[in-house]
Amino acid sequence: MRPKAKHRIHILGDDLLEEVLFRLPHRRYLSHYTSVCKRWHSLISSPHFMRRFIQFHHYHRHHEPSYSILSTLQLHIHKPLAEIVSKKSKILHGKPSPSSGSYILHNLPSNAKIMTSCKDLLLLSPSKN
Amino acid sequence: MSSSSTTTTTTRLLMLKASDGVTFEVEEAVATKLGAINNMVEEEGSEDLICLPNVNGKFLGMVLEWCKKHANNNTNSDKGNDEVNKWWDKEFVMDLDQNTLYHLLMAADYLSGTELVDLLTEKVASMIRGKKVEEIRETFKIKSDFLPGQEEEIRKKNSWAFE
Repeated sequence: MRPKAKHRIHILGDDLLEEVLFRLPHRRYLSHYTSVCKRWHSLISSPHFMRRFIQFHHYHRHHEPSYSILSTLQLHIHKPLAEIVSKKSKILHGKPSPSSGSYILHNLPSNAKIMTSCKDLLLLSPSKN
Repeated sequence: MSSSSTTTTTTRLLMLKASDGVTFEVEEAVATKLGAINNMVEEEGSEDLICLPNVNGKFLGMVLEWCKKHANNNTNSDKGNDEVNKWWDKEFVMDLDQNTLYHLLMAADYLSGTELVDLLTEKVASMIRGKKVEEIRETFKIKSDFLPGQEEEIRKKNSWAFE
């Protein structure tokens, strides 16, 4: 440990650091910050964090809801829906995504219909069977 | 509504003792803005001396200063209370150095001062917003602890967010 380590943000426990990160505007933003250091990476990448992040933003509606539509939907169906960086996403983006991901569009709710897409955003609508 | 109650509130005083032995005499109405103190008062009733082994005098003093300000502003039945509180909060966090900020935040959290935790976490978040990864590391003196190549991989994976 360097001498001034106790003055650093690292002294905050996970709970408090999460409280700080919840206050950032949206997911895209956050995924930047996974590359800050290992701790931030593991905090931000955890599904538990993402769920709470979304709940936080739902609760504090004073900010414009600028996180992605998919994340919004995720709250209601409890699936890792937002991660569509996948092999199959080339269907939507017209080019393969950089990561050959383990997250695939099968994670979409079975009753959802893709209305349109733009970059990492999908517009879904519940289909009437 | 019985008699015309001119505020004859007998202000009970509590004694708060910090980890380093520093004590503060505070009105109950002020101290109970902190959830932890409120619980202790409700549970233990008549106890007037409360020991707080996890906060030192410096930060307890600051937390109480905040509580006092907010308690006073809230009893003044002026219209612009919210505005006054906001303005005062802004002043309160403006010049905090990082060391004080984090220790104060931990103290507020330990004492369950929810509003103060909100204020301070918001302050830290404001230091993050709009910054690039390198700038974050610079601001918070964080060293990248990834193995060679790992960081690149993460960035690549998230490149959709960098567009």
